[in-house]
Amino acid sequence: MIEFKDLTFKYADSNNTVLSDISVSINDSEFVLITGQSGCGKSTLCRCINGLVPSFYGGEICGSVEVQNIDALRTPTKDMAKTVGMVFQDPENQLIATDVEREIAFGLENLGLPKTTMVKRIEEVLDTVGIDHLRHRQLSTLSGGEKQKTAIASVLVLHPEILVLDEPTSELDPKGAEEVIQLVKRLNEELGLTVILVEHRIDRVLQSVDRLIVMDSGEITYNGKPREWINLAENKLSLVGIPPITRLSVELKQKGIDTEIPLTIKEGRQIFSPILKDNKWKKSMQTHPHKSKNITSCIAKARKLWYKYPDGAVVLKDITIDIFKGEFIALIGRNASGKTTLAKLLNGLLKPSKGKVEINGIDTTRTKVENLAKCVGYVFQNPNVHLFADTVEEEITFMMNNLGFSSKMVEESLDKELKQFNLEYCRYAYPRSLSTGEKQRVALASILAAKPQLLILDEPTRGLDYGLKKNLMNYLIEYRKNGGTVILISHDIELIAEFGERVVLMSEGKIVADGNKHQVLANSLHFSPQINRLIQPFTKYGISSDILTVEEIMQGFK
Amino acid sequence: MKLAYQDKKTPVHRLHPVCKIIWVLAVLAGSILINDPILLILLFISTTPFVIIGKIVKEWGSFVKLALWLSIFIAIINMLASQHGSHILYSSPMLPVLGTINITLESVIFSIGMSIRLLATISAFAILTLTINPDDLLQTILLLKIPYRTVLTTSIAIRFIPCLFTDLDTLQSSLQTRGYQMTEGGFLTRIKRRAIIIPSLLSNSLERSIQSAEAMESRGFGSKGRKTFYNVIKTTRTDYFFIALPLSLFALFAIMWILRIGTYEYYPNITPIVITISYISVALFLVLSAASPAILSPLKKVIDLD
Repeated sequence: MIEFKDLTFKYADSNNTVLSDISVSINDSEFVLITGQSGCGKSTLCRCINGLVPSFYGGEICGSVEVQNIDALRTPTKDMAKTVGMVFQDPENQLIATDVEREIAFGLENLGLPKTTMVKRIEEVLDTVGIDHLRHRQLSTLSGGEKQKTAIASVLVLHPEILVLDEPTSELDPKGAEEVIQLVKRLNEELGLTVILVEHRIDRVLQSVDRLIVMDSGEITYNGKPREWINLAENKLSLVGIPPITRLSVELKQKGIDTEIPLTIKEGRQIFSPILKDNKWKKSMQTHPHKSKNITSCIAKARKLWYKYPDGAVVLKDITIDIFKGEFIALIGRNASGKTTLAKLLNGLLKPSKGKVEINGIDTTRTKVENLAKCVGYVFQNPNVHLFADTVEEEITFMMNNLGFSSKMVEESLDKELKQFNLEYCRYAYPRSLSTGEKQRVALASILAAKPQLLILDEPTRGLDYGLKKNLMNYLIEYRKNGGTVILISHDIELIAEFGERVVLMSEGKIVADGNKHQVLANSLHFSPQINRLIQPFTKYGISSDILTVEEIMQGFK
Repeated sequence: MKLAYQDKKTPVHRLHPVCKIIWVLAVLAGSILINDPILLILLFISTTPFVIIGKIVKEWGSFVKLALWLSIFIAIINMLASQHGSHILYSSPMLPVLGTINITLESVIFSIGMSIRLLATISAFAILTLTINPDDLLQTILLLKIPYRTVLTTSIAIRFIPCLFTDLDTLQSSLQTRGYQMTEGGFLTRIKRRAIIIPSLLSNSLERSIQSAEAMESRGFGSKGRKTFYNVIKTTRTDYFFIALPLSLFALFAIMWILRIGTYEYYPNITPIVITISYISVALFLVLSAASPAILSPLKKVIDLD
């Protein structure tokens, strides 16, 4: 059992209280999901369970944390390893050795176990986690999901009673994330392990957990069953982000239709069946004719494009694509399908091996990427790679100064961006000291200040909570209103279904589908959003098969 | 292309780590003790069988390319700084503070000798980096009674080097996409403009090391009591034979140093190299003993099986 009593914590050199008067207990074999907005104290709370807070980080702490009758706040983390296994967000930085077997052995070596015990335990854990086939593989050759499974195996091998996972899927693609979540569920169900999972994408796990803890500004705002929380907190749900299928039930309730709350598609089909079969309302629901594209001028185009990396791997094969002004294009596909490579070719960072890329009529092989920066802005996944200056103000003006904007333009643009991105209060702050959401806003503001015509964003929503994602999308909507064109690389199908227009699906270096989002995402096994999967059995009752979002269903009730 | 260890399962990769470490130290000793440019060239050439049999030509090429640029830079500095030698090839006009700079034939040859020395050393270290499992290296170094914490920290730091290059590449790309000119202007201007990356690079590395430290602590690193090891390097009789090969290279260099073979005078005049039978014998022995661990490595598996 884990018991937090009146826990309050403040990091060293900080005036903010990260955890405020937390009192909660977690029973043995429970599967608990902790969620909340970025910076609400979820990770800090987890780090109290194995003593990383305060023994590793320092700071002011009061209250108590008892883990299986051990005082976690006064026990060094290394001594908690046999009781609490902790898996972190970044699969890369938590691995120590070079191959899987030695990585798993690392903890056992630290505890000084004899070789015979090590061999036995490693065999067991390889089987339990299902990575026996990876045992001799080098860690650098593993996918993100495989690395995260190795990290889980390397803590499980110590036979902990509690497994704590701090956003283990935020750096993974959907397939890797699904594999990790399935594994965690299995460990809870089959081994009876207590699991504490911190996760933003609660749609992935909500149906599997016993209990949900919601945090806000260092406090626990909800502690109980997931369904009850949805009933209680329906007005605040937009802050956290719930599965679309669950949101549908909330939206229907607001229209006076009371239903049970579904957490899975299976439950959804049973609960919504009478409504979705009913002819009264669905006739007013719009279908989505696949209109031909309005021909506007082309901002970027690729013709018969091939790209080969120096090691000989061919990652793009015969790509031809036109990007029209004002479009919102979502680039989707599995990992290593060539999305990022195509994006880097479309802003001139990479030059074609064969074929041609033109941006505003300029052949990218004939100019440097620095010279294309006026036309194309590129936002990297990690906002940290955008931060070079000493203050937010300098960061935002950096690109404009590089491109030779006049001082009057720089000043005007700076004020506008600071206001638009709500950064005025931290204008003189050091950018790297800001929170994730603030850094993301600074990165975006620094690019948009230079008014590029085309904005490419490479998985900007990975690891962001729902609120931050929504803010980001609102900024993009605003940018498009001013004539901007957006290419968004993302694995987040729900987000694309909600905000995207044109969707380009890539696989093995080729474009396999390109069209309106309803055309590409509907009826797809792997890439269709929850709502589309929900309605498929009801299309015979007249529901359009290309409905993708809750809003589209709710149109029938207007 | 990865500039880090990859288990390519070649005979060179399978050589005992102690053999490879002694071999690298022997090449390092040789390149320090030998002055003779021909013997230095032969020492460098002797490292190439490791590259071919170890199938690391491309990766090794990247290291050597870097070494080549570095050696050109050092050679130029050396030619300008060293005013020794009697055959003046070029005399600069009177320069303020520096006076007249003479470039002599001797300093040019000396610079070439130094460059080859650097190439041989970097080649050997590149081979070690690319063919030795860092965990095996750690185990081997522990045999020398160096504290485990020091060795592990060094090993992790080495493992992070490729991450550092990836970070550097991403940060450069980020700057380029924001219109920052890094490739324009003179050499010093370019270096100065690139310096903007350093704080971000350090900051990323710091964050990475904090995350690693957290993960290690959470898995019992630093626990009291005796530490055990899952992988203990086994040494067979064949391994002892292969370890003896680079040791013979060490012995050769020691004899050469004592007998002053391989020493060469660059200043004030370059001494002509007299090719005698004993010179050829020494050169041949040097090549054979330096290259033998690689050349004989395919036999190791056969002997071990027997």
